[in-house]
Amino acid sequence: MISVTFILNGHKTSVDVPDHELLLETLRERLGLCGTKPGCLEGECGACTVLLDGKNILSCLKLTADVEGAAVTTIEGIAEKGTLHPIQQSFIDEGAVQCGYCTPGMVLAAKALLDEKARPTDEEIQRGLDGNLCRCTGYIKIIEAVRAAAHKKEP
Amino acid sequence: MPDLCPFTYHAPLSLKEALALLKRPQSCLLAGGTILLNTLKKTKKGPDDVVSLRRIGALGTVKETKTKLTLGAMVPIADLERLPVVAETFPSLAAACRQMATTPLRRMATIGGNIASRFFWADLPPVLMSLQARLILETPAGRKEMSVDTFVSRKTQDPFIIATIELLKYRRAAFYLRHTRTMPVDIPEMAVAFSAEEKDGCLTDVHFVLSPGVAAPMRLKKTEKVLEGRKPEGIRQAQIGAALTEDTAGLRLDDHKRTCLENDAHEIIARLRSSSAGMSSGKAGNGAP
Repeated sequence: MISVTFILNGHKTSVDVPDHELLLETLRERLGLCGTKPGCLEGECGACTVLLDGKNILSCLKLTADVEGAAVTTIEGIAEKGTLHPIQQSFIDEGAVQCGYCTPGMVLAAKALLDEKARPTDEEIQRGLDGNLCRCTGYIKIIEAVRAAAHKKEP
Repeated sequence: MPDLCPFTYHAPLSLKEALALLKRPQSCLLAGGTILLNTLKKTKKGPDDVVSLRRIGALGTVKETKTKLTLGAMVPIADLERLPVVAETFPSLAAACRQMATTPLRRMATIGGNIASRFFWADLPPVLMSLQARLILETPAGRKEMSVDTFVSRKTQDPFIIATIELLKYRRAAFYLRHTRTMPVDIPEMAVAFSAEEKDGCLTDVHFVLSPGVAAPMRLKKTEKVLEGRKPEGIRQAQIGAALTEDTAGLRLDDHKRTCLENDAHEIIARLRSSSAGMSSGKAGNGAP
């Protein structure tokens, strides 16, 4: 077992985990944050996306031990004081959610993108979300939601 | 949830410490994790020790002088792609980074991990070979420098860590072309990397590298010889075709790959012709596909 301390959704968190445990398992099974979804478990689908120091990464390909000292943000950590994050609200407003399984990963990938570039082009949005698969929507509504969220942001 | 085989995780703070851990018989290095962890999920017997390079700060740095770019092996592919010096001076490297996998994988995967994996489908080794990059390796016997060509063609059981990748900055035309079986984000089934300088309108120091997907990347030396010293507009396609056939005689390339290779060679010559332009104006060739 190894003791790992990191910043989880803005709070200092310490957890004892087996050395070989994946971040996805720790988040879901030890810390109860089930918004991070298990999907392909091979880094192909993006359902398990979290932000590591603000960048979207795949928690199914990250050892918990390897996030010591880093900042991890899950979907549970982006709403503020009970108010949805503008990207979450845009997904609702634009009808970008169907079954919803990919949505946490999509929202976090979109957040990483918009934090880097406030007004991305459609091509940049597509590229920013290229690691996140959706089997329901056909992506159009998702791209529209990200575009709308970008326009809501202060320039 | 996939169960990884148990192992002991280490996060050394120095290369020396990492090398000492790597001497243990069943140990392996962890860089970005995109290849290693996927591999471990599919194996029943894993390593006893996993040595993460994440906390060795020196491996994550980029240094640039007037003549040289030195990349730490732990620099993520996504960061590499965005470095202005890479976009301006090494466009084929930027093109390879841009086309590789998906955004989150590029954020996690590192330049050193891509090289050290020695996977046939890795995008960076052929490009770095064409750009004549040098690898600086840390070994128990001390620091070693070697070309990427040498690295990919020799397997060693001795422990080593790729510390940095060095590229000389000079004006050249450089291209990277890759083919995938399905979507562009897929691994390449075949790729071609090219670089050459121009002197008095003629190509010199030509490096034409094929990553055939069935073996390690290799220089196509007969084809390079045909191109060396020639003006792009004077190169005859038939000569290139014959040289490519000779160069790839020992490879199990199917018809599809052979056609792709010939088309890529023609594409490169066409780009050289239209941008002898690019070279003489002081800008390197566009590496975009």
